[in-house]
Amino acid sequence: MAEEVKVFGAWGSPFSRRVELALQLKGVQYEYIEEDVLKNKSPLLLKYNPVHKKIPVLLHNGKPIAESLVILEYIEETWKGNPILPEDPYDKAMARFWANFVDEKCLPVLRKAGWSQESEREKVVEEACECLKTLESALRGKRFFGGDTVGMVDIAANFIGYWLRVIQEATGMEVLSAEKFPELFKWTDEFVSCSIVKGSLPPRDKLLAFVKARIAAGMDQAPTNASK
Amino acid sequence: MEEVKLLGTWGSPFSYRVLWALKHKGVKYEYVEENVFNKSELLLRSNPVHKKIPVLFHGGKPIAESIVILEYIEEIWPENPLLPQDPYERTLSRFWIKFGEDTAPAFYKFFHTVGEEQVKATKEARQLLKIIEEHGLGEKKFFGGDKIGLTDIAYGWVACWLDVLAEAAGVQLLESDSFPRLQAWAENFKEVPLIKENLPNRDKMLTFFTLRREKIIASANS
Repeated sequence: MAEEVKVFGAWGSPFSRRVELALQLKGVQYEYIEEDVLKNKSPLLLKYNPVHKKIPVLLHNGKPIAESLVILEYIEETWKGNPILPEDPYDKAMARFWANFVDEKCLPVLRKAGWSQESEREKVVEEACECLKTLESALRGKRFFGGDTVGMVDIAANFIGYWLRVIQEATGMEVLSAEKFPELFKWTDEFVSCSIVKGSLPPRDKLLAFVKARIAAGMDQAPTNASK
Repeated sequence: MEEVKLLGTWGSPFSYRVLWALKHKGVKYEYVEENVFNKSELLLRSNPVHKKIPVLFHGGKPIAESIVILEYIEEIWPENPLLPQDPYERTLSRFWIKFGEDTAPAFYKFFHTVGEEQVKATKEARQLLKIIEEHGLGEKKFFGGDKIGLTDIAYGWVACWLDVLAEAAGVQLLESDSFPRLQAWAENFKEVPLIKENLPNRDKMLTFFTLRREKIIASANS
């Protein structure tokens, strides 16, 4: 039976790349559809995600699922190979805890830090560092949050693993450094050098140029209307 | 059988979510009341990241964040399931549970604001209720279908806390003519024996929230 899997995403979005990474880790074939989230969302996207009108959306045999972490849970339950959640229920709960921590605490404050004005930067960067310090404690000497292999927390933290350093380069703002967070910084290197992850990331030059262009255009807000 | 302990507070909807799930599955547990204005060593040690209740202990190991706890309970005690068997339906449940969590700050804003800000916040809360009613609940009796499920438990605060908060804050929210289906759901939810027999005292809640509201107004005017 032919299975139809489609991903509606945006090339630069960490949220849609989360979904693609999970599918690629599990060897699931899918069709990718690029959405113009800033200027012209497609009627299909609006139909499949009427509540949020955002990417990513996973379409599996015609049924749409929105919200990247919710999609990851679905992917995990549907395609059993190369699990991204631990089998032990307690460890699984811990993984969900940390994935939520990344989404609900880390990302909002990192976004604020990345797009902050000079005047408020120090305070916002301090808040962001607090978050990263807490997140780093979840690594506890492991290669990945998921242990020996990339798991849900690693996938959820992809923004920190890749996007953050690009934004830091573009803005001159520094939250994540090897000096301040040696373990977390090392994790970012492990993350991006993992072959499947590498293949799932947007090209660095293109992403850097995009971020720089937004700064140059005087945008003081990251694109928040696009993805989750 | 490993020991189960719940660290919660008498008036917290988050605490009650876990309590309802445990009782629904017939799990024996010890309840420990936490004083959130004077947090215990146990709480700070078991939830160092957020320092919040509820915390569930199973065989001495702590789990924090009510939704994470609910998923754990569902997995450890699969009898009387609260999530659908079908993966897609489970995902829809998770989507709506997440929607409730993500929009909660926007929801509670009406309680924490005054004047124009409160008017705006109340309007936004009503818009969110509309989305939940139309897209989440639809024509169903419960979010879980014919019986309550995890989504109903997660939205329990809409059925049992929202009207108390609204009364304390002097606003109107879940009236039956504006949200007939959601209102009907709330009534049905409160009639489920598990819920009916396990709710904080409404008068006690109203007194508590009225006091909180007075402090909010006082500091807004100072």
